[in-house]
Amino acid sequence: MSEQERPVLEVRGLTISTQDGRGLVHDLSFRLDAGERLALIGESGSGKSLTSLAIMGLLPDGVVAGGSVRLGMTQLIGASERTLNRVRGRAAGIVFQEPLSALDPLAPLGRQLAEPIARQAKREGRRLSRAETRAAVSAALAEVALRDPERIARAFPHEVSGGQRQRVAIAMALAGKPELLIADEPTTALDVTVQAEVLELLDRVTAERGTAVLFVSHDLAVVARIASRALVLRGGRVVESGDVASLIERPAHDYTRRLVGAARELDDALGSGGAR
Amino acid sequence: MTDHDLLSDAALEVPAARRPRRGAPGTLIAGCILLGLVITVALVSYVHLPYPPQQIGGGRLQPPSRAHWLGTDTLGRDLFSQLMVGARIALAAGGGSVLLGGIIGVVLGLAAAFAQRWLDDAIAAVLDILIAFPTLLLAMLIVAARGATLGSAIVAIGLAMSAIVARLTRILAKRVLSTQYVTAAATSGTGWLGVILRHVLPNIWPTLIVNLALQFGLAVLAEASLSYLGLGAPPPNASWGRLLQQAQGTVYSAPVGAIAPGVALVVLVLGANLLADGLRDVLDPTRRSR
Amino acid sequence: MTPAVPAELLRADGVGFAYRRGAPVLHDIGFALTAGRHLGIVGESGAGKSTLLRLLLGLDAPTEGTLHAAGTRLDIRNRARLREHRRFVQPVFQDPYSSLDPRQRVGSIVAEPLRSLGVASGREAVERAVRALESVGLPADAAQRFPHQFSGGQRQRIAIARAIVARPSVLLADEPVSALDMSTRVQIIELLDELGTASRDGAAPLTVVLVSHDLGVVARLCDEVIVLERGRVVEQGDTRRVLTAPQHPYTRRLLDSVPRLSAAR
Repeated sequence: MSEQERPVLEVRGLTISTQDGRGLVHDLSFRLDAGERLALIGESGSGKSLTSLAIMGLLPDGVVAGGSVRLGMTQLIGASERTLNRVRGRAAGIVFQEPLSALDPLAPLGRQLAEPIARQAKREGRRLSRAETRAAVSAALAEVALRDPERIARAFPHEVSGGQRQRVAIAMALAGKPELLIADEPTTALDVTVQAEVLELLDRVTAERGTAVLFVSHDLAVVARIASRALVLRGGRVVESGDVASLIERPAHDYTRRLVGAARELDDALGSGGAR
Repeated sequence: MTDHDLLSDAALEVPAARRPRRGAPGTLIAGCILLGLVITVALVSYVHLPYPPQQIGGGRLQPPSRAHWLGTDTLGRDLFSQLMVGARIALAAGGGSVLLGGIIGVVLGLAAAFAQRWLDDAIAAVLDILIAFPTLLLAMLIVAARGATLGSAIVAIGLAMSAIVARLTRILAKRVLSTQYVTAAATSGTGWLGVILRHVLPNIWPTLIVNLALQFGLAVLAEASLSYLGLGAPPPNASWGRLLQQAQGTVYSAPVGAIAPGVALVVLVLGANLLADGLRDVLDPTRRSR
Repeated sequence: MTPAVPAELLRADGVGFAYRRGAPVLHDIGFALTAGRHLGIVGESGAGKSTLLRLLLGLDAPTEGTLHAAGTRLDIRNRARLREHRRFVQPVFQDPYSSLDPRQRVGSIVAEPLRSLGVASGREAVERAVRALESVGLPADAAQRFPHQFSGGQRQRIAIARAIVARPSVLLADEPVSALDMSTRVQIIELLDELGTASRDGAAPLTVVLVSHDLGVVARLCDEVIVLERGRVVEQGDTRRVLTAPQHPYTRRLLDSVPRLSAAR
C-alpha cells in the first residue's frame, strides 16, 4: 500500500470488554481514509463512545481493548503510554459532548489553548515567544469564528457560553494539526442555532485542513449534515453500514429501520408543518 | 446527565459497583465485634462483678493474679471490676452525647436548610464559630458552670457535637432540597414536613449515621479526657479516663493500671471507627449501577 | 348540535418576571391554552422558558401581569388556591435521572401527589398508582422497584405516571425528551400524544404544554406554538402556519438551524 493509499485510521476486529469478561464491543472493523467523514450511529449502550475512547487510548479503568487499531503507522492497542501521548493531539484530536468537563475550570481559555499550540510549534522546530504565542492563540480563536478573541482568551470556561466553549475545544483539538478529528456528540448539549453554527464550523475547518472526521452521534439528522458514510452500532456490533443517504432512504436492517423511522417521524412533522 | 452522554454510556456498560472494595463487610464485622465486646462487658457488669469496685482490701498495687485478673490499684481496689464499670460510663457518655448532639444537630441543621437566606447565613456563622471552639474547652466551660457530673459531661460533649452535626445536616439537606425530585414533591402538593420526612431524611441518614458513628468514638475520648482532667463524674467513679489519671503516678512500677484502661479506650474507639467505615461502604449508593 | 366552547385552561396576560435588582427575565408574555390543543413553548437558553414554567407551576409569582388557571386568577400566596392549582396542572421534568427520589420505591413516588393533595390514600392510592404505571406502558410490578433499576426512557414514563395519577387537566412537560435517545424520544412523544386523546378512567383527556428547544418534537405533538427569544414572545400561532410561513426572523433562523434528513448527500 502506497503512502497515499494508507488509511488514516484502520480498525480491525476491535473488541472492548470489562476485566471480568463482559463484552462491550465485539469485533468492530472499519477504515477511514484521508479527508473522509465517517459517522458511528448508535444509542446508549451501543459502544460508540467506547470505540472513540479506545482510539484515543482513553478507556476507563477496568475496561480493556483487543484487536487492532492503527492510526497512520502506529498500532494503538497495547501501545505504551508514551506512544499514546505522542499520538493524542498530534495524530488525532477529540472533542467531547460536554466541554466543561474537558476544560480546566481554573485556567483562562487562552492559556489552555496555548498549550497544544506551543507543543505543535515545538514539534515543528519553532520556539514561540510570549507575544507570538498570544498571536497564535488569537489566530486560532478567529479561525473557529469567535469574535472578540482577546476577551475569550482572558475568560474562564464558565464565563463563556456552551457554543463558545465548544469552539475553543475544537480549536484545541485541531492545534496539533491532526489527521483525524474525533467528535463525540459534540453538539448534543447545545441549543439549536448554536448547533447549526458549530456543525458548519466543523464542516468548514476540517474541509479546509483535509482532516478526516469520525463523528459519533445518536442523531441521524445531524449525521446527515456532516458525514458521508456511517456505521450503525447496536450492542457493540455493527448492524449495517454504508453511505448515509442510502441508510436513510433504504435501511436494510430492522434496527436501522427503527432509527430512521423515529428520525423521520420528527423530520416529517417539521416538513409538513405540524402533526395534527 | 443524558442517555447519550459519554460517561453515562460507559457507566451503563461498566458495572460501577464492581470496583474492588477492601473487605467492606470485614470492616463492619470487625467494628461490630469490638463494640459488641465492650457492650457485653458493660451489660455483664450489671449482673456480676468479681468484686465491688470500691472494695478496698486486695493489697495495694498487686500485679495481675488469679484473684485479681488485672491486679489492684493504689488503694487495693480490683482493677478489672473498675474497668467493667468504666465500660458503662464510656458507653453512656458516647451514646448519650450522640443522642443529644444528634437530635439537636439535625433539627438545627434542617432549620438552617429551610430558612430564608439571611437566617440561614446567620445560623451558619454561629455554627462555624461553635465548631472553631475546641470541644474540650467548651466542655470544660459547661462543666465548670454546672458542676462535674457524668450528666454535665454528656450535655457538654453533646452540645459541642451538635454544631458539627448541624453543619453537616445543613449541607446535606440543602443538596437534597435543590434536587428536581424535591421540586416535583412541591408540585405534588407535599408540604415542608412531608418533604423532610419522605425525601430529605431518607436521603441523608446514611451519611449522618456514618458521621455519628465517628462522633461516638470522639465523644468517648472526650469524656475520658474530661475525667482525666478531673472534670468528669466526681470520685469515686470508674471512668477509664479517671483510671488513667490515677495510674499516672505508678506507671513504671505497676504499668497494668495504665495500660488496661488505655487498651479499653482503644478497643471501643477503634470499634466505633471501623463500624463507621464499614457502614459507609455498605450504605453508600452501591445502587449507583446506572 | 352546538359546538362545544373551547375551555380556556390557562391564560397569561402581560406576564413578566424579574429577580430583585435584576433585569427582567420575562416580559409581556401573553398566550392562552385551549383544552385539547397542545401548546409548544420554543426557545433556546436564556429565553426564559424555565422561568415561565415555574410561573405556570405556581412555584413563583409573576412580578408583572396575571396568570389565570381554569378561569380563576392564580394567586400563589393563597394556600387553598395553590392546592387547587396543583390538582389542575402537573409537571414532567427534563432530567429522568434526578426527578425521581432514588430512595423511594416507584409505587410510592407515583402515589405521592394523591396523598399530598388529599385525592386518595392507602390502598386506593396504591391501586391508582399501579393503573397510572400501566397506562404509561410499565408493568404493575414496577411499583416495587427503585428508580435506578430503570432506563432513562422508563424513568420518564414513571415521571409521566406521577404527573397524571391525580388526573390533572394540564400536563406541563419541560424538555421531557432532551436527555433521551432518538427512538425513545419518539416513544415518549407518542405516549404524550396518546394521553392527550385517550380518555383515562373516564377522566377528560390531557392538554399538554411542551417546553422544548427541539422543533421536531414540538412540531410532532403541538397544535399551537409560541416562540420565546430573550424573555419575549416573538411569534405565536398555529404550528403548521408558524412552521411553513414564519414571520419573525428569529423563528426563521430556528427553523433553518434544525438539521434535516434531506441534508444527506
